[in-house]
Amino acid sequence: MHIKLSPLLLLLQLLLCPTLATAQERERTVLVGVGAQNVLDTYLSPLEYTGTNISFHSSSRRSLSDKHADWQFQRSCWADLGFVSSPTDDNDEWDGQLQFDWAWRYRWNIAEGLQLWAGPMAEVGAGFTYSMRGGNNPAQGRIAIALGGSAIARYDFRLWQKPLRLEGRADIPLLGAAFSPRYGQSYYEIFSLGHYDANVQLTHVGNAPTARLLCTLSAPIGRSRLHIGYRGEARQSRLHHLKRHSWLNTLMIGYSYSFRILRQ
Amino acid sequence: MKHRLSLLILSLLLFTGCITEDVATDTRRGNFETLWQLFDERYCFFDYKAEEYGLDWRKVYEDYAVRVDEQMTEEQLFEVLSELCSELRDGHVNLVTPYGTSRYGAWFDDYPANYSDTLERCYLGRTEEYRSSGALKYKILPDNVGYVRCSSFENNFGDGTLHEMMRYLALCNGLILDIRNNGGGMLTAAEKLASLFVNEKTLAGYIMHKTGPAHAAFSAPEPLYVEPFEGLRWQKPVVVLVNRRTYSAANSFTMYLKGMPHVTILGDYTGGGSGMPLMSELPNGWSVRFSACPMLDRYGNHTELGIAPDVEADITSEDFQRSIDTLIETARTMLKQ
Repeated sequence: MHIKLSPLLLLLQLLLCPTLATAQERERTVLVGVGAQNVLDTYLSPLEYTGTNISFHSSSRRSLSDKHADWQFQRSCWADLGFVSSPTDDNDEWDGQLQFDWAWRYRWNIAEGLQLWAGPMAEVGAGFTYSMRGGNNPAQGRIAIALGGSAIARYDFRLWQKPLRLEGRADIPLLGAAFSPRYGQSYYEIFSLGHYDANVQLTHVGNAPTARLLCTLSAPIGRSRLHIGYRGEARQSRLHHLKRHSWLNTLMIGYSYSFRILRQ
Repeated sequence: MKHRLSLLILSLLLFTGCITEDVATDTRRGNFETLWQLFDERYCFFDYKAEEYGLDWRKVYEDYAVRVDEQMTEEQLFEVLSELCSELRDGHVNLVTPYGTSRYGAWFDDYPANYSDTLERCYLGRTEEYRSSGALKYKILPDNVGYVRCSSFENNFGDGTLHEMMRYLALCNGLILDIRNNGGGMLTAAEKLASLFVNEKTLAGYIMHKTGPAHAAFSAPEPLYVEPFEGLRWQKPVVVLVNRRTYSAANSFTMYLKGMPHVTILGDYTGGGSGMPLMSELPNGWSVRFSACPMLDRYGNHTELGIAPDVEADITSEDFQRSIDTLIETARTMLKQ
């Protein structure tokens, strides 16, 4: 029987779940990756910079409680560092981003072996782009929070007698707030003089269309699972007439393991 | 309902899609168009310079567009774009290329130098005869007037450096602060040196920034204050020596001190340069520097084209031939009165 929770009940459940749970299965995943990155930040340059990115991802996933096994909670961390160059190779930039997100998803059993989870997500992130060119605007800083949606589709199947799992995760921030300097504002004004000018902006899919996709194929090895997959991410914004994008295409590899926590 | 919401989100994502910037291709024409547009959207003195000397940026486009074709060499393109930059009459506007850095120099080339390092040596003496720390050189002249030569604001001053300098000069009757040929640097360094000469938090000017690509899209002017230096205030008369190469942060330093009761600005107009410069680049990789954040004096006036001295003076050729710096001597006379 599926248990329907009102938003209020769900919130209560989220707060109380650590005490209600008696035995929870958790899955921890660690992935590392390398791939291509494309960066545009018109505060620094009108040109798109391209280069290499290294990524780290870790997540922990568990059911909300034994009573509400159809709900899962996942918290994730994404760390990225990219080194990108201008089209003419005359300048380079470092681009870094650190994201944390928390997702609550409800499960639907679609077909034999196929499950779909979907639900709300909250994320917070900070990052920078540092241009080696220098000057009074050598870098751009970012900090943002957002609420959005997250979904996972999982398909378990057998191939050559091996149980394999294909899993895709998509995250889309829908509404949030982000820091941005004004169009021609210098960081000297913001940080040295403390002159703030609407530097926190409301973000939504219209001015910050952002999406992340993580697809992995995993196979059991002993008590763990080996993952190999693809991560695509488009983190974008158009605030105060300043355009920004970071597009990632990354090959990810890593492992996950499950364990149970017993509580009295 | 859920399906409708999902469809709405999906359509918004598809509609907004990828955020990109339309940049011209790396051709002669493309680089010209990008440079002109970059200034058009981000340069901060169009309206002011239209009033001051009739700058018409649209006409500049028409005049220069016909001079650009795909057959010209890169060096010829550099020459044309350098001339285009010079139309802005701004020492903070530069094009940095393998063929050199374009720079506008009429703001000092067209005027007397009013500074000579040979004369500076006559007053400071040999290396062991004056004190020096970073961009500061100072000594006590025979008539008990302190002379401080500040050649740059490229690096900030340490508290200890300023404490020691002021302690050394404390018994002087007055101070000559020589910022001629000081091309600027860090505004924070200019603020710190100025902090020696205020007794309380003092309004020194205003700063603005562009809020959009339109020529007149500016934020409200935000006040700039100079805070007094911790535990140290110079109370005696000060004469600040300036010339046409007193520029950028040194121009701001002059702006901070001008009008203060015990301060006299002596020399020629300063060079100006009141727009804080930012950097960008062209499709061919050439760097562009341009003024982005204008600063105004405490009365709300632009100082981009220079600040008038309180007392005008030039180094005369007779004095120069006798190894006398007219400005220093005028300042000494003023401080004796």
